[in-house]
Amino acid sequence: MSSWMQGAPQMAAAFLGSSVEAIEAMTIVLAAGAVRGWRSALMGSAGGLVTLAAMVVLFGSALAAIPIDYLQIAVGTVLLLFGIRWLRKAVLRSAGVVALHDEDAIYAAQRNTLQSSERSAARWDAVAALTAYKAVVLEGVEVVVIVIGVGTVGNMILPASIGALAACALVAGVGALLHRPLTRVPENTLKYGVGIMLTSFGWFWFGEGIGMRWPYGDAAILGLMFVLFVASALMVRCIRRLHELPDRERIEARS
Amino acid sequence: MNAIVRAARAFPGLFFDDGKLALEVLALLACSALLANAELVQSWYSTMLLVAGTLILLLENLVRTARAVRRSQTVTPSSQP
Repeated sequence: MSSWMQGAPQMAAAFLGSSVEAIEAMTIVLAAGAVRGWRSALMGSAGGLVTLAAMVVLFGSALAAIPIDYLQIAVGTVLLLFGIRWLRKAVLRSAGVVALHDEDAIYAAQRNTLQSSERSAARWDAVAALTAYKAVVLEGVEVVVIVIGVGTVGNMILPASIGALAACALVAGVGALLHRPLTRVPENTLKYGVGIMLTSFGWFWFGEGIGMRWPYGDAAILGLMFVLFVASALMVRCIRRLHELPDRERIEARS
Repeated sequence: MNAIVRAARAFPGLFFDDGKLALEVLALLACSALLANAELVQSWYSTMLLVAGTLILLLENLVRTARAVRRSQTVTPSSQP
């Protein structure tokens, strides 16, 4: 019971992060299936899942051979880069600098691209299969990085994997029922939360790897999340203000 | 074949949105590691450098990006007749 409680942050990070990636992959697979045929799109998706499973087995066994200090440094670095990337994007979107992610627009653009390319007469459609395969592999790699990153070091790969699989199953189930992209999911908020979690895990594991001693042990991760939440909320306000300042240059140019 | 090449090109983008920020963070991590192993310096200095340094780099990048977007928005409408 206590090990499951300890694994709750890893499970939550994997669940939220995987939801975002699964929604993005699902949008493209739905477009490919609707325009070019479901058989090829689903075959491509299945191929992508097999590739991802092979990557997990390959990397999982390779990671077990790495000494813990080096593993903490490597995983911490990857998680920090990954988390900062998500957090940066989420802050820019929250501040109104960059447009919010629009699954409807992506779905429409993907449909247009697929409709414009020539369709083969055979039942097997390579374009649909490759499009679905690429979407599943590229988005899935991010899921694999999150699961391995948050799960490997603390021996929490099982809770992290369960969180990721639950998210993928949930998104796939809802997508199969609705047959259209999931537009109502607050993707930016999810990305914001996952960015905070991954960056905090990255700080923590990298610090452990280089010999830092965090106050209060593993509980320091929660403190780091709080610091990052407050700091990023201030950053959103600061960037929004900077972005919405009266544009002196524009007024001067007009006059 | 083209799809595979495009996928391979998209792969680094999963980790680095902004190459400059990624390099700055990697440099910060190297500095933190050096400081953590320096015997003359107290250990919490490296913790502060890691946490505060990351936040400062992120803020600098956000300000730079917001200014660049603003500049591009300013130039576009005024250049229209």
